[in-house]
Amino acid sequence: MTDPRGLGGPEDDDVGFDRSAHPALSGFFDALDDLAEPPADADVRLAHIDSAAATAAGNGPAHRTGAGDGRTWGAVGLRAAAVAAALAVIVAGLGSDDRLPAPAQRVVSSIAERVGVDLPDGAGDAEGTPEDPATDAQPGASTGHRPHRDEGTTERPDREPLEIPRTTSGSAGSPASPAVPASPERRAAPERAGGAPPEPPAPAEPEQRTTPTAPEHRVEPDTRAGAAGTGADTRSEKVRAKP
Amino acid sequence: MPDRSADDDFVQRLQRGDETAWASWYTELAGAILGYVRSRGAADPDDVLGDVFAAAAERIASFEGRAENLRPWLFTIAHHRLADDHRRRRRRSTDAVEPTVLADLHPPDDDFGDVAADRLDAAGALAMLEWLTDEQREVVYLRVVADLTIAETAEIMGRTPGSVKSSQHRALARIQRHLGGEPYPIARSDDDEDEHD
Repeated sequence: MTDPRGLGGPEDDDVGFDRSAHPALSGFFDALDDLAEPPADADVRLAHIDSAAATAAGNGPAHRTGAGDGRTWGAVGLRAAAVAAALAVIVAGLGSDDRLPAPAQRVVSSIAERVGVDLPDGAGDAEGTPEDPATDAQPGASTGHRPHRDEGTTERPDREPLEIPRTTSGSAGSPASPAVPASPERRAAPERAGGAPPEPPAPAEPEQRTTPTAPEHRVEPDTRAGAAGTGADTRSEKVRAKP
Repeated sequence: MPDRSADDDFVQRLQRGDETAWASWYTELAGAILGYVRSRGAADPDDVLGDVFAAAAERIASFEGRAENLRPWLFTIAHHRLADDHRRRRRRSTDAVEPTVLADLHPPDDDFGDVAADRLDAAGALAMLEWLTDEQREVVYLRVVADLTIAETAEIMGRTPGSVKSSQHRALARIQRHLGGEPYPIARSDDDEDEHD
């Protein structure tokens, strides 16, 4: 039912606005639509939003978004990058005969990929396994951009949720959102309530490098490149133990 | 507007930080959000737009609902962001409309009645929105441009559906009278006209 004055009749609470019920105001409505012009610098803003979204999802390095929580996300990104860098050095020190087991290789490659750290050639390869496209280092990874750009599809069944520790930050200065359970993917991610930063690299010990040492006797993580090979099991345990 | 109702995993894609999903969503709603903040008189609409989507990126993990609920959810974020902006700036009052605002946009002898409704542009629409109260202005935009339901608009604004309907009716009646060239009263407080919670 329309009002003869063109102002419309009773409306259902759950339907959208019916412009055709207000023919006298069609020009006004069209002018209102002109207000909804997209921003001129949409591409630039979208890049910032993508970064914020990826960071919030724990899938990329942190960038300041201007929303007030840049330092929190930046700290998380730095810790993740430090872990990945340490892992990269560990992997680089492995000889051709010493490779991490496939699961550990996937973790290393995934972390390095997501925080933009280039692993040495072959570091992403697991022993005896064919190359996995999901774990291959991608061009541009060092720039911090996410290597996989979805083109028409967004399903990544071969990619495991990344278990990078994140600090849960609230939206400081913004109205609080109602507390709701996390989505299933995020429930699987381990929560870390302010864990310790990764261990710094051990000081150089030339004697240790030249002295043959059985894997089970090594007690310190050797993060130097070119270090003598050690037991793969010991390394994998260290890799897994690291956050 | 793309039909998201069938896109069951769109919310999950946003929560995973899927660049394609975010690009699609931003492209779809950036203009509407920008127009909304412009209509509400934000001093820096582009800045508010960025803040709104940044807040959405931070809070998407806690979003519960279907894809079709994303639009009102985003406008809720924008509403709160603008409320913060208004509190901070105290730029706009609901008790009176500053005549200088209208004078800058339209000279005294510019009778809207002489301007066909179909020749209005964005500036003209903004000028006409100035004749409305804050609540009426927001209702008109959320209903007409953002294409939200009465119920969604009421929830965003913290009003009852009845109040929203009343504001919408009065707002459109004012615009209609203005387009008809009749003298227009200065906008009064909504307390004089509408029911509140």
